[in-house]
Amino acid sequence: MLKRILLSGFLVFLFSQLYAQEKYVLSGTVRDSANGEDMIGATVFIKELNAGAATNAYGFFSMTLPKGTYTIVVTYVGFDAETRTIEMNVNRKVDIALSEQSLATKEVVVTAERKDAQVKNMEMGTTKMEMKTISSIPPLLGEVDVIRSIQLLPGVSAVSEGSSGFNVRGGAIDQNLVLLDEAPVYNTSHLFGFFSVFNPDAVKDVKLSKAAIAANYGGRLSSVLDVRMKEGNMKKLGVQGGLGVIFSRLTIEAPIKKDKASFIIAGRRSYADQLAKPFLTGDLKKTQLYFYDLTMKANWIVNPKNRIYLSAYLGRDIFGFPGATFSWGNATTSLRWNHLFGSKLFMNTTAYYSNYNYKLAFGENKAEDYFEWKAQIENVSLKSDLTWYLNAKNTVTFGGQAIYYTFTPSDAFGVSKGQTIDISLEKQYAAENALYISNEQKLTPRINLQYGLRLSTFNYLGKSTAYTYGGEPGNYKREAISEKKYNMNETIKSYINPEPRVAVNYSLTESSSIKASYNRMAQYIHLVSNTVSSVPIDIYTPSTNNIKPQLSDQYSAGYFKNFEVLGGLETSVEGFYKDMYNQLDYIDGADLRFNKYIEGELIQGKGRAYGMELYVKKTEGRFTGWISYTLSKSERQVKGINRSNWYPTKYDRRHNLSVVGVYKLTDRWNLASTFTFGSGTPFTFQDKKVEVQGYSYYIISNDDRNNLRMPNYHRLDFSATLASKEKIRTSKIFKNYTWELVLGVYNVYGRKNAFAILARQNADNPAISEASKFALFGVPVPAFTYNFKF
Amino acid sequence: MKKYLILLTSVVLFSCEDKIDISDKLKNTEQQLVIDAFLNNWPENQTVTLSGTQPFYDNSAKKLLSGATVTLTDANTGSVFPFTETEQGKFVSSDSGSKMLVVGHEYSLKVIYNNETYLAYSELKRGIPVDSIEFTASTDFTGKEIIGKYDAEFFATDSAGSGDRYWTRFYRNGIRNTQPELINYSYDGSLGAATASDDSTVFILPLRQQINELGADKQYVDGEKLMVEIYSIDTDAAFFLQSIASLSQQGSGGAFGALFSQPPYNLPTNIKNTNEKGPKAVGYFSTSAVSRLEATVPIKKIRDKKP
Repeated sequence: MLKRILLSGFLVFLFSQLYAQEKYVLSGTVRDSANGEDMIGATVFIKELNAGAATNAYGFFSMTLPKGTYTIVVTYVGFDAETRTIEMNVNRKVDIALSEQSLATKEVVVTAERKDAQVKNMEMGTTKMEMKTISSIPPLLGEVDVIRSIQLLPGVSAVSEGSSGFNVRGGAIDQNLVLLDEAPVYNTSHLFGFFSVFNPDAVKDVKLSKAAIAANYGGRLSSVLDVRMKEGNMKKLGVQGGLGVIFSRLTIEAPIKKDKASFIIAGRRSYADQLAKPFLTGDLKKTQLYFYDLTMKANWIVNPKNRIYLSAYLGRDIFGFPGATFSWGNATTSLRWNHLFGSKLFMNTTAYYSNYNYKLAFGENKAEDYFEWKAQIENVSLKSDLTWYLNAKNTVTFGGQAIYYTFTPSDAFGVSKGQTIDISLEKQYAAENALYISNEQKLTPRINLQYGLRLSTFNYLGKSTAYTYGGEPGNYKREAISEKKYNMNETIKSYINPEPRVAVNYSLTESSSIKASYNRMAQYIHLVSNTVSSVPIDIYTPSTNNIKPQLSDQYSAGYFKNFEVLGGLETSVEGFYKDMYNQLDYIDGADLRFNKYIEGELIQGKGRAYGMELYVKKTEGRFTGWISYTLSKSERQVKGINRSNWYPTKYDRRHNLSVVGVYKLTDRWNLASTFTFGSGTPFTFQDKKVEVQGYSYYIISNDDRNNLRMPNYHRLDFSATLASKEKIRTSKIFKNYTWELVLGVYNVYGRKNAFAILARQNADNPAISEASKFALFGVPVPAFTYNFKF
Repeated sequence: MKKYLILLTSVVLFSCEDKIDISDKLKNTEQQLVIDAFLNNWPENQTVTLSGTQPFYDNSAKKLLSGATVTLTDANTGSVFPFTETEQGKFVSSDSGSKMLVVGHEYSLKVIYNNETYLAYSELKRGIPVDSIEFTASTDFTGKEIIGKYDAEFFATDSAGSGDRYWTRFYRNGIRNTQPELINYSYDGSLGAATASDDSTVFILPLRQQINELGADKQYVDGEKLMVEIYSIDTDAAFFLQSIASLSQQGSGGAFGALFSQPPYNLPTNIKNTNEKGPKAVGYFSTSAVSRLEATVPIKKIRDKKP
């Protein structure tokens, strides 16, 4: 089947070559004239041909045109269009700078894409969010947040407040590939998911792909969240920041050499502990409770054909009390090199390092009684992505990636009465490699095709001990029956998976289209978590001789239509069906920490998710916003769990609704409100009481898994933003000083949304059983932030 | 770790815990047989208790069940020891524990109830003595001594070699403590299999002190009696007790503790219905070698200071 698809694809490709005539290449870049930032997804439109191209993630475009004279119009919403007349009798390179529309004429925009982008783009199931959009959503505790914002999109949800990460189309949180300037981020949350690790002041562009995932991405089943950082102002010094109730931000960007090289550095720090200090006494004064992050980037345009970017992120959450500390954080660094071969072949090569770790330590006396536990996932990678703008009809992308992982599940020791016990586990190593090729083809003026293949391999490597477990997998602990030691870099187990990706876009009219796609994805690393909520101490584990890689097949189709009413409405209906294999689950009472036989307590089964997503977005006018609704189901079947019957996953939400409204009251006042509703997620609850040896405990009838549902989740947020008049100061440094004041209320009507319901015994009388509901925000939470920019 | 997470709660001002009634969501499920059979080799008659599971919100007294046949068999010698029902749900052996139970022997417990036959197995593991019990004056959080109040600590030494599991129980003035969070299980003198040591080590500190009741003002006072007993158990029984302890602490650290809670699961049981399709029983059968030591809280003759 696969062979036939590839063969026919190749034939189509060949035929399209036969119509060759005298042609030239128009290529170049699109940048913001004010600061020199690359513009991602700007449209370069050829009037005479009624055709166009969009710039890539590095602001580059290339297209092949027949000989002639053309009028090109370059547009980007929120910016004045730039029109040029170009005679194509040689290959030409043009660099275009767009200027932002003046505030007086600018409308509030919730999109940066061209108006028909969602209809014309190949990428179904993909949503691009510009920082402008993200900034307009009522902020949580006065702060704009990337992950919080994408949770308002169809198909995206979170299990509950206080859980790290997000779930896409019935997938687990570890099934999202989150990239920050091409480097993966393993834990996206600060403060247990209240804020994400991305500093909004340093973010340029966010793209979430839920389906039709391009062949250059791989390694996760459910989605790709591609976050791109700003390059840094190429023209002049820029400073922006904010003072808020939770944390403050400061970003500085400036040219290193005007129009050639620039940098940006952005930092944030929360200060709950500093605010609390005056109220604490004695030892408690040493309490630490904060997070910080530092985002840095520099870039250098070496010459028109070469450009280098260096990006780095460092962030950490720290909870420290006398005698106990708990901290976690990510660190990433990526070095990228853009190179243009001729005018048709664009290359980006990235080398990155990424690390996520956490540390727990208890005890004040290291020599007597002390406990310390560190765990880490670390990887280095080299990848190269090439885009060949072959001709007017075909754009071929190809490349490869190599990743080397080091897992440290436990680097721990305990000291008792001066005696040290080492409870570290062996490190684990693995190599993940992939090659891919993909073609985007304009088959007819109405039909766009994208087809590609990714071939991924995974090698679980020594130095390590591989265990073999006896018995059939089931809901019980399997004993290791034999073990074998492997040397450094010796392959313990290898896997290979071809991952075909196909997508088609059929334009019905100028303003409507049908899109469909099929994706196979493979995932080789797994998050091992067995807590009510996803927490920072969850551990990543590689695929091993016992843990198989996760695989998924997703089928997705959608209808996209834009209406001219109400100043423009974008609408879409999408449906998806996803089969997932080798999903990781745990035996009852699994012991996941410091356990070298952990694989004996993990079991794998299959999953399926399906659903429908509706989206209506109003992009222009005084009143803008969107409604997103998702109806979906996510289930699992694992041998031995829930009597081997299908059961809902803990992130299964039947209904999920988000309504976002932004109203421009006056030139200076902006009002915004968000309402979210989600059906209750499943949880397991005990329904019977037992007494043995004087101890009361509870049991679950029939070994049910996820037998009850939480109450429905709903919440209303509101915010009002007052912006300064344009240019309020005239001094030299503060020439362009502007500010805004954000006032907001989170959880306006103070709903106590539950994240857990647990069986408890009454504190005074253990014979009385109680169900306790836990919520993180039981009251309306007001907040304010003062933002400034100059 | 949980205790430290409780501290985290104090810093989150907006979180909350509410009691809710979910009785309408819990299905009415059938009563299951509960077999409670922890037998030891002390020279006393031994008891097996049979009861029925109760619905979650049923706060009435334990439902004891009558009319069963209970026998214990020593698999090494073939001797059969009958248990007879002396009061509802209480099945008492006619022989003493020291006569029936021998270290190293394997035992099977057979319970016939409602025409169903339930079987469970247990091997009697070697035990250790309670070496000593000590009392030290309690201190308040500033480190100042509290006159007339004491914290207790016991000492015991793990046998050489690995695989020894112990369950320490304590009685205050003759009444056994049954707070699940104080269940004192030990792997080779340590807290878990991962930290277990092969050497014969003194029980680690948290275990030694886990014979003090929780809560302010619960310290031992002059003249009180404290008895400590150590049961030898096998790994599965230790896991059973450990599970009761860990599940009992669900949500005990407030909202942040709840974030880190493990989802509830069914405790393991070693009791099997011989008819696979028949109703399942819950509970546990375990045999132990037991040691005891009793101490009296010292009465200080002269007070340091007049109140």
